[in-house]
Amino acid sequence: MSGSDEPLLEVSGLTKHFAQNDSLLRRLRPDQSVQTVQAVDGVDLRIRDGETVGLVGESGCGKSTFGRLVLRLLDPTAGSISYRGEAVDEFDAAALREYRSHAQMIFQDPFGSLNPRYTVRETLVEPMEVHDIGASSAERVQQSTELLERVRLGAEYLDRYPHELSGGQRQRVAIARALAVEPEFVVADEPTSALDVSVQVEILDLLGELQEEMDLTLLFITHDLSVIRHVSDRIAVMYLGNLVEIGETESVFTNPSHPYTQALLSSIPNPDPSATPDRIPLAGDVPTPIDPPSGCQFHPRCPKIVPPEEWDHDQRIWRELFRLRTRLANGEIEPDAVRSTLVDGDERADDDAVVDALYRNQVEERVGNATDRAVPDSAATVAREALAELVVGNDDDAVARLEDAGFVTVCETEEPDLTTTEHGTDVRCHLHSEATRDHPDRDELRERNREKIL
Amino acid sequence: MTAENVQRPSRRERIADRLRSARETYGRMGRASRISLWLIVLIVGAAVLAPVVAPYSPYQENYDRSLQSPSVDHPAGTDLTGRDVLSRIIFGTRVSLAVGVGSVLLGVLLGVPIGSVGGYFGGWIDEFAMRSMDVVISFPALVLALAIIGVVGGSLWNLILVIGVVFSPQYARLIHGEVLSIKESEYVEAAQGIGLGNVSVLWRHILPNAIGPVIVQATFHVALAIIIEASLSFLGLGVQPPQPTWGVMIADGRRYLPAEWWISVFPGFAIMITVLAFNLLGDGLREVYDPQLVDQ
Repeated sequence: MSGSDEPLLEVSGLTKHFAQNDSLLRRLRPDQSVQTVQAVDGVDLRIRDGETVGLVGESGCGKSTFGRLVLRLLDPTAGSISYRGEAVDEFDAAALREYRSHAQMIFQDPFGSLNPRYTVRETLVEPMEVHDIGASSAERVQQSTELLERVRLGAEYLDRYPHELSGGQRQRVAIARALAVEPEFVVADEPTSALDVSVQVEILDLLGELQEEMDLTLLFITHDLSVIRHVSDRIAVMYLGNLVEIGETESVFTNPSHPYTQALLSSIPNPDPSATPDRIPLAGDVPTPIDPPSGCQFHPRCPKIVPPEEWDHDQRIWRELFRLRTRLANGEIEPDAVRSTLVDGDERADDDAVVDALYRNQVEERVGNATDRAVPDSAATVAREALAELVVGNDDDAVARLEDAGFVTVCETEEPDLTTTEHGTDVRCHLHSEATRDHPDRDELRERNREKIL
Repeated sequence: MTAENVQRPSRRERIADRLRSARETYGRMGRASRISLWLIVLIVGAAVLAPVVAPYSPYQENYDRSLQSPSVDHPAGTDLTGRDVLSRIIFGTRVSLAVGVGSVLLGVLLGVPIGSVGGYFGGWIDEFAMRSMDVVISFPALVLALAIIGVVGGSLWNLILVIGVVFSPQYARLIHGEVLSIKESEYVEAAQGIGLGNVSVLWRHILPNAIGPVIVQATFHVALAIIIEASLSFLGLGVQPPQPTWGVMIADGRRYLPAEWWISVFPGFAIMITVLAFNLLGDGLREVYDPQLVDQ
């Protein structure tokens, strides 16, 4: 289904930061700062003529913002958007209006995207008037009728108001409005997520048919992976404002390379009850985009986080110790609570006993859940030392003890580059990043870590 | 369905549509506001047809009939110079309605553009627009009106101008809040997305959906404007004699209280009934337009 290789739309380094609680007074006051939400952070994407690109990600990852940026419904903070070689980000008002006749959007909520005081006729005729499509109002109404028939609604809907229509019918009208200017490129922002399941399928089929009839290029934004497999030629997976994996839909579904994609795919419910559930659980919640994690933004939750090469044992043990470090740094472990539990149970409650209890809870059990191997002695000692620091109240030293002992990963220090895998997908992960492997800094880091561990 | 059916001109349909929605609104109003509506129709009718309806000329003096109590000839009695009080009340309706409707119209015409433009564009435009409205609103309405009238002098047009300016910040604030919430909706984004300019988006998509509370407020304000007009006229700062207005009539009659009570009391009733009618209509409209009240 994909057309030629010439990119219709090329986005590079696209970034959008929203200021929070911004006001002149706050900017002038030295004791306060304006927080920025990094909704979209340096996205590169090429969309070829005639293809459907699916953009997936959890809610809040910035995918809707990306869709609006591409259409210049929002102005980017940085980066460039080029449509057929023209710089969209530099368009003036007239060029932007012209662009709007090529690129259109279908919104998520059909109950909010139609003006309640417009009839279907007014909704459809208005875009044609703006772009001088059709010679007379009679001709425009004629075209509206054709559009309605295209989206499987009849001319009898022309004089209805949105409140007289069902959700599916409204979404059809919204699709017809987007198509009224005869666009080449359409951004569909979760067009089915507000609809009943049966209606979802109808709308998806309709979009597919329209795309073929009208030769549309589609950017399909959704959090629903089963939908994306159904409609798209290529998919792009987004996490916290950046793309982590891009590739042909089938390659990504059969050989997901990024740990996040793997976790997402494993979360699709399997209707076969006999199939063994093989879910990859993700630790913790999506971090806030106000202060995203360093390096690879997925590293705090990543099940495949890369240990330093000096680590000779199981990766899962290293991962649990690294997460111990993260919990220590976030102040999530409370030795006082453990101590009072011990006291309540009439057990020994001196510092050593608390360290023992913490070690059992925070390390041994977790490692036990992840793998059947035992924690190597050297690592166990380090973990106990760190917990002992915590128990006496030196939180920072506890973290430093683990860091000094080599529980530092390239995933948190360096941002991975986009690398092409053997399956033809592009992935942003240190597991696949050859460039990082040969990085001089990385050698240095390795040397340093080796010394520390020894 | 053939193409001809579809292409028929929609103007007649539009008018029919408006009528239908007006009838719907009327159907959803309570009994009190329906009665008020007809009362207002009656009052407006009296104002328009004053020369026909009034039994005498409001200016015709007749010293033989000075200070007569209500009778068949003069249902509301006569004043010191023998002028018919009922006829003066009927002609006074014209001034009251002119001030009530005129000043509210002016208030809406000033306040709605300021508030909606500020709300839509935001930033320093918003700050400037709303802060200047705050300045106006921070004066007590009657005191501000008194001060301005004291400077420019009292006349029908000055009254309308002053009361309109005093009212405008309330409309600005009302529409400002509505625009702020509506401009975030997806249909406004969609309107921008099809390439519509800011003015069109504001005019066609935002204002029609934001104007409901303004209409309700306007009804209340007509009543308030009538009271302010009467107060200013009572104080001698409003419309000048001999033109009959309710406030001036009450002021004239107070010297003859309590013996010749009809000179003041009947214009007082006229004010009361008119104000009550507009307030009840406003209540009824608010119940119809405000979705939170509809559910109750």
